[in-house]
Amino acid sequence: MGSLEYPTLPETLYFDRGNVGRGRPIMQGDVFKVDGADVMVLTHPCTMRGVDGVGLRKKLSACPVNQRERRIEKGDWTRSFKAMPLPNLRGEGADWQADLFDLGGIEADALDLRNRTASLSDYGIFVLQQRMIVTLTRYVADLGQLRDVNQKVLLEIELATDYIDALLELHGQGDRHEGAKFTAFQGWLDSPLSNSGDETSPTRRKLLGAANLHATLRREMGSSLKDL
Amino acid sequence: MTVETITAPTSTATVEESAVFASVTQTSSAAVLDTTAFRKRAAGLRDEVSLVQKDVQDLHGESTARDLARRTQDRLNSGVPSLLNELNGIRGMSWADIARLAGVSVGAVRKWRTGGDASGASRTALAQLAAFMDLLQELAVDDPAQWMESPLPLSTGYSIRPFDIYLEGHHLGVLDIAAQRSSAEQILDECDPDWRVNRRSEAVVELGPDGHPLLVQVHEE
Repeated sequence: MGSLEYPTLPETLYFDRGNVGRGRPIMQGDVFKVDGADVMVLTHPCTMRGVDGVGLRKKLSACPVNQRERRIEKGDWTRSFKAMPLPNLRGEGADWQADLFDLGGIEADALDLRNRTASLSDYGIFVLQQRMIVTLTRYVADLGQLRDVNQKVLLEIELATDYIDALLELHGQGDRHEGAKFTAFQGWLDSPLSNSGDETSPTRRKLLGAANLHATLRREMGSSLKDL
Repeated sequence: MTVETITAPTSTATVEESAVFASVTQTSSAAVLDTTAFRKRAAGLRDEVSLVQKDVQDLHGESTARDLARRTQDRLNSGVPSLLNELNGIRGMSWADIARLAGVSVGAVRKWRTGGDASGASRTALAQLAAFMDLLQELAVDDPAQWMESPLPLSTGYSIRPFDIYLEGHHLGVLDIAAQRSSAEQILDECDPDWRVNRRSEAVVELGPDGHPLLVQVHEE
């Protein structure tokens, strides 16, 4: 059985901090400023959206994010688990933490991409999930297994970020959740590979489920972006 | 030593044939009877081969390390945006893995695509990764990026990728796995003797009722 992860390079926990790019769809682990307070979204990406895969559910799980009185130490990672430490969250040196035991809900309408202050990397999300699981169940999940079970949805978000970023460069900003651009990405995902030459070939979305084709899909995105 | 079937000469054999037969059978008989000497000779040869094998292994390792270093130096001539385009756009590596290797946030790496400031250490890490991918390709790994992120063929309960071992600095070990000179278990034993305990998970990934993957506890029978 493994132990709680201790990130030796805290920087790698984050996708971005400060002005997080609007291209990245709202994700588990995102930190937002809402009515003057900081909150972290905890809902899993597989369950945070409706059937169209774009619109957020009315309400999401969240917890408060607070500045710590003392700096994060190794023991806060390995021996304590009611919080997700967020080292140097604002890039000013102070450490923060998401208080996982203080679970609550938040209206999706309250979340605005302009007010997103941090987003976790894939690795950061696995660490968060491990800590959420142990806080609620006292079971220590293995990070490798968390990666395996989440890789499909995380690849979708990675590809969406690339696609929406490209659309932002072309067309500028859209609504608070960049819904139109995310919908356009879903259209790309629901099309077959560009060199398949056959409309009945499996869609890119179908290939998301094939772990041995993830590099292929990234190359496909790299190619598609040149044609946008 | 070749063992031949010796046929005794017939009564019509020549003197010469009889003499040859006598000398060969006497030598073969002596060798067979002297099994202790034979065993010692074989043991000595085995020890010599073992020492030579270790020397050759060390030589191969050193030459590979130098080759990788030289290729990394060559790759440093490419700018960071070009390296990133190759690693993600052409090879298909994930931004998450690239950022993890460079020791920075994904956002920082994505900003480097348009010319942001990468440290010398990060530039070297990216150049070395690009050079490493070339080496994998030369080892007939068809899709190096996919291979690096796919779990190794270990027994149930372990999810370790070649990239994970690479991230821990065991580059040559990863190449040995790719070249099938060593098994994944052998390399992991060298890198982390306690991996069987520390990296074991009690769960496997299955398809959930909602069509999405699910982690399910393994029950030992």
